[in-house]
Amino acid sequence: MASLVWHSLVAVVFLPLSTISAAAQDHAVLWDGPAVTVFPDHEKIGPDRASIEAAISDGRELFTVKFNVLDGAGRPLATGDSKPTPRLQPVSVAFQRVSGLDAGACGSCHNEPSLGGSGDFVTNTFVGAHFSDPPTLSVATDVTNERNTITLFGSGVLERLAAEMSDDLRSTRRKALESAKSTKRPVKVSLVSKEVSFGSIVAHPDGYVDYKNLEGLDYDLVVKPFGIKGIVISLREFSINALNQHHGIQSDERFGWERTGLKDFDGDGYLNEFSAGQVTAMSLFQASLPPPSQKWSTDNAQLATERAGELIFSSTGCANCHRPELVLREPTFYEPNKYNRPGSLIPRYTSNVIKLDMRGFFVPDSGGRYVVKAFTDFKRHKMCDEEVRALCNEERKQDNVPVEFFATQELWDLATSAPYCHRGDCSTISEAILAHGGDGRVSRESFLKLRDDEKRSLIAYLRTLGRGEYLAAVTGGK
Amino acid sequence: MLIRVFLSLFVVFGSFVFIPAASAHNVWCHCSFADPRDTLEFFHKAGAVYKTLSEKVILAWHEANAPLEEGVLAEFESKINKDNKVRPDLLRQTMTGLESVRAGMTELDQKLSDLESFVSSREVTPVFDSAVAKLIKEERPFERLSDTGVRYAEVSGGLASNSNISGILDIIKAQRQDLAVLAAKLDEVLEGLRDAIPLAEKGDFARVMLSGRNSFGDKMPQFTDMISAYERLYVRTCMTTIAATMQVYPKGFEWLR
Repeated sequence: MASLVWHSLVAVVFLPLSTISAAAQDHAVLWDGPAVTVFPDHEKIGPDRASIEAAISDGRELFTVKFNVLDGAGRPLATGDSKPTPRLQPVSVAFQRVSGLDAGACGSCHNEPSLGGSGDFVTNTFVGAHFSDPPTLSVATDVTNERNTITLFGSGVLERLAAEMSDDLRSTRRKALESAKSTKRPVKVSLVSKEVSFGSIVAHPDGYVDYKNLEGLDYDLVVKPFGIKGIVISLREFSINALNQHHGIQSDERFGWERTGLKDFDGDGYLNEFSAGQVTAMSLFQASLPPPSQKWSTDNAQLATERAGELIFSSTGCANCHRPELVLREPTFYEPNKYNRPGSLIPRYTSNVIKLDMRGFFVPDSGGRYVVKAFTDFKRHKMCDEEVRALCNEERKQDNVPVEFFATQELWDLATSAPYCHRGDCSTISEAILAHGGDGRVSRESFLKLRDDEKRSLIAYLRTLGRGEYLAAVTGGK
Repeated sequence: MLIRVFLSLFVVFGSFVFIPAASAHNVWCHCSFADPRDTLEFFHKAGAVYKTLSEKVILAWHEANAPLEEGVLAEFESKINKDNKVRPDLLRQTMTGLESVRAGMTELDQKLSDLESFVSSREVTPVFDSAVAKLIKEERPFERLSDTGVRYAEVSGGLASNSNISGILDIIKAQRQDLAVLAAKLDEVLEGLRDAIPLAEKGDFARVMLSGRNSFGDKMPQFTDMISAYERLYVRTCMTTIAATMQVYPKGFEWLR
């Protein structure tokens, strides 16, 4: 409440003209109020269910609300980079389709088949352009990487899976280093978690690690489940990045005085634009979105087609990377994530680590296991070669990841996430399959050798993924 | 009488026989006890703390960092002058050096623990501890280490209160507590550096550090600030004990006459 009053006061007295639309340029006062009306406190969320549910509700509101200048939307003196980066000259236009601001609300793009979902081509964003200074209007591939909006359903489960894999891999490395130190000899170990191999490393007695044979992962051995390049660790990191990039809302923990030395980093006249509690609420909301569900046809003939397609999915090698099943040891979402990097809250900086029970997302299998059917291995793979280069349209590296490498995309929402491919320019699943080069080339060639009816079976099977949500959207939930 | 003279001379000159000259200088904490032999043993133990901090932590830290800076410069050179090569071996040297600093911190904590156990089981000269408490109360707050709730790169915690430090035992405890924070931060530095060395092998170290995409770029400046703050804590707290010793003299050192 105090924040609401403060924001209103600041809006009336200090609003810089550079962040106001052209229509309002002549006015120093705006007669609307801020859009944000919820201000949860991270330290007061949980462990009781009621306060966690309240935080999720707040998170939904924050995900839906269209931020306005009175909330601190806008970043006239900062770029949209995830690293706090100042501009020399303030931008004269607040909204700008390529470099941002490019949306009023998270839900403006993430909404198919419902709030928190994926988006059509029209909702594409431009990675790299958002930290150009001055802001660029170019969508050329040497300037920016265009990206389709993906679903956030099941993201809590993905984050938890990735954290468990990171635990396994880093534990393997630690033991190898300890062994090398005690035996005074190099120790080679395979890096495997949940039956996914990330290659191998050699640990040396002096603490040096040889990563030459590491596959599909960064040297910190932290699995990053978000972003098409596999570069973001948690929903918290993702949200903080996106809030700045798309809305110019700068979270305290990343852009506040304690990290940057500046109280108003983006120079829009607003301090403390987004608290740790608000980021937590937003993360919890996204984590609460259930995984997309598979739905088989009730028609026997169609069902037979789909089941045949399931077998083909494995026989063609698609399942080697698009793993149908990964087992989650503990179905609990922890906020904040212990692997968050500097600029995002970590457990050590708070007295409150919130636990969200995700058991409701699962029906344990006969062995009592929590099986996640996301169809990914969380690894980066090279996706083009000399002949098949459809997916290698980009010229800019993102976070040091080579342009021809992409993280294995989840397939569990195929029924609702068209169009496909990282740019959203594959209108059919067939086109997406045909675009697979590099590490996916063998499977692509296997697909091409199938009979037409077999190809159709495979597609029919893939369209069962996320069909539960598709049907609900079509029937209005009836 | 002769024994007292001999003992006094031994304390003044003999200690130099048993404590080799340090290769790095710092202060050491003072204290006096009811039993002069306890006072002598305290100075031995405090001297061991001083030596470990000075040589195996502070000096080792400075020596460990030199190759890192040379390695970064070599990388810069390789970008401008293509004939120059990157030097990831220098970063490996730094990692080895920092591992040595970490081992030094473990040893320092052991020595501080030893000192703490000693002080807690002996009778400190009452007027000395009282003098220490009075000095601390009027002293401006000691810099204490923390990496939460403070400005990034100024992790000394600002001006925390001295209210929980009222004597030599509390001083030693404070030195140990902050050493634990320092050690935890160095562990993060080592982890970040280990993950960054492969980048150096490809000539990408500086670029990635400056982009903020690797934690080493955050942790190293934090630790640099922290170790400086720790040395200030150590010096200022020990200086308080020296001031107290001199204020209450000859109390606690009657055997020097």
